Amino acid sequence: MTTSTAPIAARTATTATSKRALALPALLFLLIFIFPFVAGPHYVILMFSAMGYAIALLGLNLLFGYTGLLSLGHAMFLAIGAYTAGYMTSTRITNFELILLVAVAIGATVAVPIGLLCIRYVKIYFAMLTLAFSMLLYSFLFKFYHLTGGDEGIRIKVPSLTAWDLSGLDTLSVLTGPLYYYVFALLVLLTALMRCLTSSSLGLQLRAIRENQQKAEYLGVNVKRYRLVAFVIAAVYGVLGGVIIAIPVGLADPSSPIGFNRGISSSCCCSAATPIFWAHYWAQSYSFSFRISSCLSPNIGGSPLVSSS
Amino acid sequence: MVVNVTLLQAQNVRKLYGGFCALDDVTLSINDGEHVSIIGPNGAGKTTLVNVLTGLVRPTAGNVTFKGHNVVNLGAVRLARLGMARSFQLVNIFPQLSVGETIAVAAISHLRHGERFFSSTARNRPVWEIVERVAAIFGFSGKLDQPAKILSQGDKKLLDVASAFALSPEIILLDEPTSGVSTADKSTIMRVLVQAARQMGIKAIIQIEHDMDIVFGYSNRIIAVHNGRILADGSPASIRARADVMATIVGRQRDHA
Amino acid sequence: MLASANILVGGVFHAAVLFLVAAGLQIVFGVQKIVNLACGSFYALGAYFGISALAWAAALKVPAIAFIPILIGSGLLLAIVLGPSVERLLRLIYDRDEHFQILLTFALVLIFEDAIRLIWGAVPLQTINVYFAFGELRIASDLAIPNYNLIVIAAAALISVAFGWMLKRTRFGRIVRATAENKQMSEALCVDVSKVYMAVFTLGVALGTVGGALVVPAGAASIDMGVELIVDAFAVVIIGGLGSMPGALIGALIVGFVRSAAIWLYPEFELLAIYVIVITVLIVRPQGLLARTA
Repeated sequence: MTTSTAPIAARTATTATSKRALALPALLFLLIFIFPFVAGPHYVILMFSAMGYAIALLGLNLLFGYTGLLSLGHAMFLAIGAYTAGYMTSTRITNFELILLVAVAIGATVAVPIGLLCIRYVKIYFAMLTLAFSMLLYSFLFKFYHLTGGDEGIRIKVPSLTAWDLSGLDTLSVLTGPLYYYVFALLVLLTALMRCLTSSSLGLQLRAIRENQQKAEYLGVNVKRYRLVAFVIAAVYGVLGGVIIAIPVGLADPSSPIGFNRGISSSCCCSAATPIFWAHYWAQSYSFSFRISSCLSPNIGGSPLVSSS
Repeated sequence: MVVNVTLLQAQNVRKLYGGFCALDDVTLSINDGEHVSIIGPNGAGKTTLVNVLTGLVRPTAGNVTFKGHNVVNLGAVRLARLGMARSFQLVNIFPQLSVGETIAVAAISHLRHGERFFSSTARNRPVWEIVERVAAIFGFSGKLDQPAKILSQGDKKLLDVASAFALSPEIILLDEPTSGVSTADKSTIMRVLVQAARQMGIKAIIQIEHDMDIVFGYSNRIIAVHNGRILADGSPASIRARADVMATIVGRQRDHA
Repeated sequence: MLASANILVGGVFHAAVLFLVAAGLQIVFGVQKIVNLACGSFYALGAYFGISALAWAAALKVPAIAFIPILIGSGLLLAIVLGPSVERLLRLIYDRDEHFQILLTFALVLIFEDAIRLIWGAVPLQTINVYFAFGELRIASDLAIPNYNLIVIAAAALISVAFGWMLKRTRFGRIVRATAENKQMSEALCVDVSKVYMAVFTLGVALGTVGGALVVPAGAASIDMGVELIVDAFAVVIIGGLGSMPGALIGALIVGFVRSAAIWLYPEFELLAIYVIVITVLIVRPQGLLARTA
């Protein structure tokens, strides 16, 4: 059947080019891997938040880039992650894996009802609703001092790792050593997972929903369900990113949602959808330049990147 | 001998938009093996009728059932699963998706592969077999990787129809599938549609059509709509014999060469 | 009695200012068809600039009676300076997808937030003594309403009436409405649409800056007042419906009263109350109570 072999050959050609396309991200991962060996500890810690942003941005990329839903409130999930880490390390439970698991559970639990409500609406209404929810969380974090520490927030101690005995290492060594690579492994894993999801039927159907919701429905795509799936996955990625960003900072406080918000919003200007690995690149560059410029001038931290995006 | 199974049924359907009556007491049933043309002047209610039949619009009175289920309660997604597909009068595509991907969406629905979140679509053999088959029928074989937005208007229309066909539905409703296409291409497209229907096992076709050559050349049943009412409903021969229908809708007698 | 009177007056006061800002939002949406999130920033900038203007006026020993015109004037001045340049920037996105509009205007919000931090610092600022400089209206032995509230309500009402009159009765107003209805037709009739856009946008900015300037003596200027206002203003527009001025009035009144009631009765729930309303309205009637365009 000559007509069918030619297109299938084209299909394998696509996978061949995608192997070439994997080269760039592989290089990026390699750079991140060797970073602690070449850079000073201060910059290595910066890389922590870069990795965290990258993960959070992967989630937002799925929601905005693929599904077309612009969430202005994604920062609320990062805040949930940060505060979960704070609560758990302030009790005796400092196990990193456990923190991640609990954060994911809470994030998903919160995301489902909020998602169910918000995904019925599109564009500006969706953006406003998600913004309203994140401001709701912000005001809750701010006002309920006895629960959340108000504007002082909650301290986050460095977590322990199951597979690694960290006793005897000081904080800086942990952050630039075992924990760094742990987070790096998580980054690679989550990126691979996202790649898998987006090249599956989920990715295709989400893009169809983004392009033309009505037609997608008439072709049998369950728009509501898949939007919710995208929302919850984005939330989970956001929560994980939030935990990672907050740990080197050592504090979860209400201003972090706003800070996250600006980071997320400005970075997602750039990730127009499919190129997942570009999202990484922007997250890293954003995070670095943000920190550097805020060292130079505390006031104009966000602006240059916002304007450049 | 084809058993006359009723697939789609409308009972006493009325549709009011404010004070304007778009459909008035419409009753019809579509059966297995029928190729129906809905004809009528502009504003007669043809698109409203199709919208009501496909559940896009809720009737003010009366109901529509597809294979026994009430169409409005089902929603577009479950209707597609049950076996109803439609195309649209205005071009309705996925601009950024490629031709192949557009058809693949329908194929995924048909094969119920929508929940396969962890396997790559590109390697999904059954999906791409359907895509290639449908693309070959509709002449898109060389264009599978082209984004839909760069296609010509006629091709976009055809892609809309092709993706509906890729659902392998039992019944398909087409809203002016040949409009915007040059006359020479119209009969080509109709031949393609009929061939596709046969190959994909589609049991009934309903199309809104203005071109009377196509109407009398391809359909085995004609429903004439005027002012929201069904003026006539029958075989092409019986419609041709109705002077009132011919005068109102067709315009003048045409000899079918 | 005291509480409810205060809630009433406070509510109308908030509503008055909110209505001004929402009117600015509505007209920019109606004409340019863009959703301008930066309205919050203009509000905040108006507040901060108003404080600076008052400080300058106080240093010049200007009498208290001139404070209101100074506030309004500073708002207008700021609008004339900012409006045209921001409008030129936004020209990039007039015809683009709504998401770009949201992202670009949100980016503007962030930039302005940082600009405020740079110029005025991160600590909330207050005008001292201006609020009570106009005395009070004694209604009963235990009930006094600061005259400032009444003056602002009156000023906002006057501005709204003038605005409405401008739209309905002047030639410019007719041109604006025509451009909003059908841009191409207006162009074909020799209307310089880009000038109209610039004028309308500046008008929208002015309504925001004047609103911020008028409200600042009654509270404080803080950096997050911009983002807070976005949600409030959108609550107003969502409740009343996008495109409807009477709806904006109703929306403003509802939001104003809820805010006011929350501040007096349950301060912790002040912010919560508004968001709950927005969410409720969006669930129950997403096109707003009096929408003209859904």
